[in-house]
Amino acid sequence: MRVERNLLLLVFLVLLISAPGVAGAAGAPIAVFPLQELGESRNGVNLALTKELTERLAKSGNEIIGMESMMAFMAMNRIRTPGYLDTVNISRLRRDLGAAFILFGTVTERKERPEARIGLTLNLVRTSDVRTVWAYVNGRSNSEERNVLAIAEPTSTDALEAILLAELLRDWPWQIINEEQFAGALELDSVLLRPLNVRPGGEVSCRVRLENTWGNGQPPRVFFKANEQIYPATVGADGVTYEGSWIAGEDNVRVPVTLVLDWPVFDRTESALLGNYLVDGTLPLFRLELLGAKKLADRRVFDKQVTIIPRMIIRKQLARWRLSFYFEGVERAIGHMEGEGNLPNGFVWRGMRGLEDRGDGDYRIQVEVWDKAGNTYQVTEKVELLRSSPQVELALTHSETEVVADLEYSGKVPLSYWRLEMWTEEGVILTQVEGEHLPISIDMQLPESAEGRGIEGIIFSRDVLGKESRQKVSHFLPSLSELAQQEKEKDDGVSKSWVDEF
Amino acid sequence: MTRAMTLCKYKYFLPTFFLLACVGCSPLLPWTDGVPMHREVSSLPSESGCRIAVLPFLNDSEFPQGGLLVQKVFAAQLLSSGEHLLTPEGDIVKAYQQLHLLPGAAPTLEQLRIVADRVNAPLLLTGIILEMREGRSEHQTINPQLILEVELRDPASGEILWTMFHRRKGTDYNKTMHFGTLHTVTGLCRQMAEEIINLWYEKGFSQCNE
Repeated sequence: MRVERNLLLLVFLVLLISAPGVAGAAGAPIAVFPLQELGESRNGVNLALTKELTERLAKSGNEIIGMESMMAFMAMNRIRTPGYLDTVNISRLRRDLGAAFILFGTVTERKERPEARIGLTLNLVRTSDVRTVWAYVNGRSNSEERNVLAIAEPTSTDALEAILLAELLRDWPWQIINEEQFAGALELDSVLLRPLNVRPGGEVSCRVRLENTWGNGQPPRVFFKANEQIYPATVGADGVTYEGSWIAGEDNVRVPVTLVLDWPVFDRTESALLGNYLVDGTLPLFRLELLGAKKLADRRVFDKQVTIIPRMIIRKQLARWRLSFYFEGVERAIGHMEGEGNLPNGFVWRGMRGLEDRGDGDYRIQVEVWDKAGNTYQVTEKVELLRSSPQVELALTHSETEVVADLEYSGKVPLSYWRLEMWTEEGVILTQVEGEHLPISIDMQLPESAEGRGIEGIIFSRDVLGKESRQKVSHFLPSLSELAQQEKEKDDGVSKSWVDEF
Repeated sequence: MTRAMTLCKYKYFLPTFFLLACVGCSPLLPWTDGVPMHREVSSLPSESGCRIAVLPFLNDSEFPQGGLLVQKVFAAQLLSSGEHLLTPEGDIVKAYQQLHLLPGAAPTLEQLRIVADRVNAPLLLTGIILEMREGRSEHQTINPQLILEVELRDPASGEILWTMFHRRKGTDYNKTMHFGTLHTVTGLCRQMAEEIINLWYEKGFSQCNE
């Protein structure tokens, strides 16, 4: 039992290996030319077998050009003889119907008596090089199909036809056909689709040059298809260049554009994808960050440099940008910079316009961008340039025993720190005081030795931008008697001391 | 019947069976009755390449349109056997029409030269059907008979370079019982074409799939 089972398994495997491969769907269009019939046929053509052959090939996965198209082609080109075509008509068939292959065939014999018999020759011609790539010849008769038990023996030519068709499908050149399916009937020489990014309602144009020429054949009607709409194309003077234009839709979508060639007389349509364009109505929104500028209340201030960082809110490709600087009270830009493509990561501005320095003041920084569809957006930021150091104003008044120092600050940039140190000529420290806010009044006790001599000091200040300044203070303290004399001279209006000296 | 006799009987069964099987699978009539008969008039052109134009055969038989049948079968067999580049049949018909050559008419050497020039063929295959008929065999079956003369011609002159005479009938291929017998003219013609072309290859005619 085991031996028999193994034998059965072996037979099954042998049958499986020797079975014809499953044919895959092939995309190369095949035109089945009406089969010629030799012998006693009335009109030399066998349309019934042609139809049967066509259906069998289509069912097995071939892309077959319809019989109606074939008949229309034959009528259009006045072809009255089945079974063969010359090179010119083979090329026309490729051009007009897009056939990658043509299957020619001849029923070489077909008789029912005294025994049913049929003969068939087929040859498959590749239209690209007009080369016969496959051929099939066979003949079958009832006598040749006899089997031992006489079961299901064919008795007519119809049954023999089925045997022949099944046999030729086993021999069908799938590999050659599959290799050819990648060669399209439409050969594009050049395609110019523009713009590739368009605003809603903008105009799109396309120009295509084909390598195909129609000669004296039936030229196709040519259209461009975009967004499920058909737009007619106009043919150029050379006969192979087609142009068209249309208005883009309102929706923000990517639209594929297809070239459509239509031969109504052959009931045939060919198409080729040309490219696509993007309808884009969104603004290239962005904002600016100014690094290095101190925000003070409602304004930004910087002293050395400011870094302008553009941040895209909607990330998209830009076509170009422009950076402009405006000074207060001046309409035109004092300087600008332009570039193609996306914005740089940042700009550093040191408050200069070339070699010319406008000096402190209010500036407007304006950045404009254009995306590839032409949508534009701009952002303007105000910034104030202040290069001057903080200057603290000091007023000293003194009496017999003390000096009063009044510190004030009137600069535009607030102080973040100040320090006052005063001392006498002998080096006696009068005061050391620091703080963040001004004005302030400071009392300093004077030693007796200071009368009639000077005092010195230093004011250190730093504003919120970090600018620092050191101001030296030197003040002479006259004696009280001299002060009284000076007061008296002021009252008399005549200076005694001047008269004495005079 | 003794057991020894039974064993002896089976002892000779298998060798006999295999002998019959080997005879049945042997090649079909490679060389019988002196045919195919090959004759070389002149050597083939050295630069003939693979392209060949198979012209319609002349038909001296009563079989209707036999010349077209043999022409198509030979063209197909040349492709199947050696992947030769075949001149489109339509181009040949067109050249014949341009020369006002009626179907079945024999072209002159000058016309052959013109045809070869128009279809740009470096080698011409022509022939004549001396006999093509569907004879009757037992049990009301067909026994086709075919006598052919096939020529390879120089396109520049139309002259014959090689010629081959062949004669077969369907029953020539009979193996055992009714198996092997060819009952169609097409099948017989294909078999004869294969034999002729294979013999040409043996004689130096170059295949294109090597």
